[in-house]
Amino acid sequence: MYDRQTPNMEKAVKILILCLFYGIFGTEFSFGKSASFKPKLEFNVLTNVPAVEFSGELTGSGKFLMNHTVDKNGAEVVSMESVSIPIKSLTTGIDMRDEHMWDKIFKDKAGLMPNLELVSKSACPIKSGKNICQIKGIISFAGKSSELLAKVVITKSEALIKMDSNFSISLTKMGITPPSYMGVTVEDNVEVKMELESTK
Amino acid sequence: MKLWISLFFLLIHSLAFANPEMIRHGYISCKACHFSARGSGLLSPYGKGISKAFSMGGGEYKPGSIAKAISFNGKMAHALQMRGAGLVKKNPDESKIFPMQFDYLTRLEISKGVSIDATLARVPYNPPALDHHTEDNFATHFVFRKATVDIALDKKSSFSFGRDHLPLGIGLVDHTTYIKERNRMGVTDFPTQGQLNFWSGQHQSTLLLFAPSFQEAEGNGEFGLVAKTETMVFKKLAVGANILAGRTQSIERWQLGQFVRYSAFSTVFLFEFDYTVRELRATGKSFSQFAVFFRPRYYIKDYLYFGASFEHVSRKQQFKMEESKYGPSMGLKLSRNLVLEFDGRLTKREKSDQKYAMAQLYVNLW
Repeated sequence: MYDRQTPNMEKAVKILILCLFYGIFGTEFSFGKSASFKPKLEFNVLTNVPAVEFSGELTGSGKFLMNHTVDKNGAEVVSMESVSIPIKSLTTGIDMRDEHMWDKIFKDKAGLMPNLELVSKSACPIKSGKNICQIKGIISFAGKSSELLAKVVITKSEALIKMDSNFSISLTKMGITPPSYMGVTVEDNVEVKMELESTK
Repeated sequence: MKLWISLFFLLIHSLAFANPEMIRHGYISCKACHFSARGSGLLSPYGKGISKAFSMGGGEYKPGSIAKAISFNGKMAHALQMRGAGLVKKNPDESKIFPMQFDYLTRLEISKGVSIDATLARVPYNPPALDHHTEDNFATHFVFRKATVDIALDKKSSFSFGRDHLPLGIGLVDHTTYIKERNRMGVTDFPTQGQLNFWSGQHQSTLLLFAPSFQEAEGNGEFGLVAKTETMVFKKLAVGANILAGRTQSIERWQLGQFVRYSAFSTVFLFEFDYTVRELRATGKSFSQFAVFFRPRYYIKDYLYFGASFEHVSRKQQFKMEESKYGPSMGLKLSRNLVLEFDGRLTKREKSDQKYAMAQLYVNLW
């Protein structure tokens, strides 16, 4: 069957299979040129008590839109266009801590929890190997927005394009008072690490 | 008889409820939940919140009016720790239900960063553990497991002086384990000491000098030093080591311990290996020993686990012996103040085997 298909048909079947695969795990993706897409997001939180620090990760669904294009001069460009994460996809491993986090950080004035959104128009020109660039974007949650600067390392090889970004979110800049629980107060800056990897 | 001796040591040396399994939530340092950097004993308010959240009832910890009143605006903390046990052995005459522990714990904050910690325990009268001439009276039933002055040097370090347990290995509660009991061999586990503690979210270490606590049996008072460090090398994987050098009237001992705590797939693995060399000072003859401990526990819920424990001890030269102990365990944290644990153990010695099952009920009022 397969050898009768056109290359475009094969590509379409592959994409469909991958869509189904990621659909099962609840993650939607979009990528201009390649087929598979693996998002990974972690965050690390420090507190006023040095022994108490914790990390969390994306354990549920999320929408990640990264674009990989070739301009008219033949140069390749990668951009992180948008990220949208339902708040309850972010977990820390302790149910009660998750509830506190969702409630005290991500709830807006109306008591709702709109998705965490990240939008960026920055594009990074890439070549084979490691490429480092800085992207600007806007992060929004709990009905508030803040500008975001992220250092991005894009690794391009024949088989994959990997985008590693690290950035810090200031709660106070977002207009959120760092929450406290039993004498333990979360520090203002939350470190975030995001990895997006596409395999051709 | 040996079992009763073991149980006595469990009773007299136990500093209950330290929880090395907290690595499953990414906590390496005891200071996360306890006032003491070395763990065990009184829980901080945050620790009480965690304890409540991980109990069967779950929910938020909210101090009651009595707790608020006796804390004097957070200057004092108190707790009562009680433990009862039921022991089932092959011989029905040896099967019993009995109280194992009754401790009062307190902490007083003298000024910012300076506090006094004490644990007063009710213990049974046991002449061999005292000296051979002490008569049974009211005073022989009480012992200070802990009495220290703690001074915070900064947010990540402290100095404390006084009587406390030795912080060796992974910090198990059960003092009948070979890595604790067979390494100690009758030397008291709560000497007088001056200790420096350092901690962070990824690391903890202790350096201490110790001397007798003047409660040991004659000849068992020990002088020495301990250094211990533990680091999170990867998410939920902590690796540590400790050294101990000690000297009593009759014995010198050197101990090197290595230990690992790791958690994955709702399971916690604890592993410890200790190598000890002792030298009889009178003759200059030495003998070595190694003890291994491995304990996996699978947490179905935060409040319910099933697990097992495997131990082995081997001693060479003139005190040659081999012994293994293993069996299943389960635990249920019914509430913040109530824990039920069950252990079945088969002890294999060279010439005999011994089986027993023990259920323990911990009641912590804090």
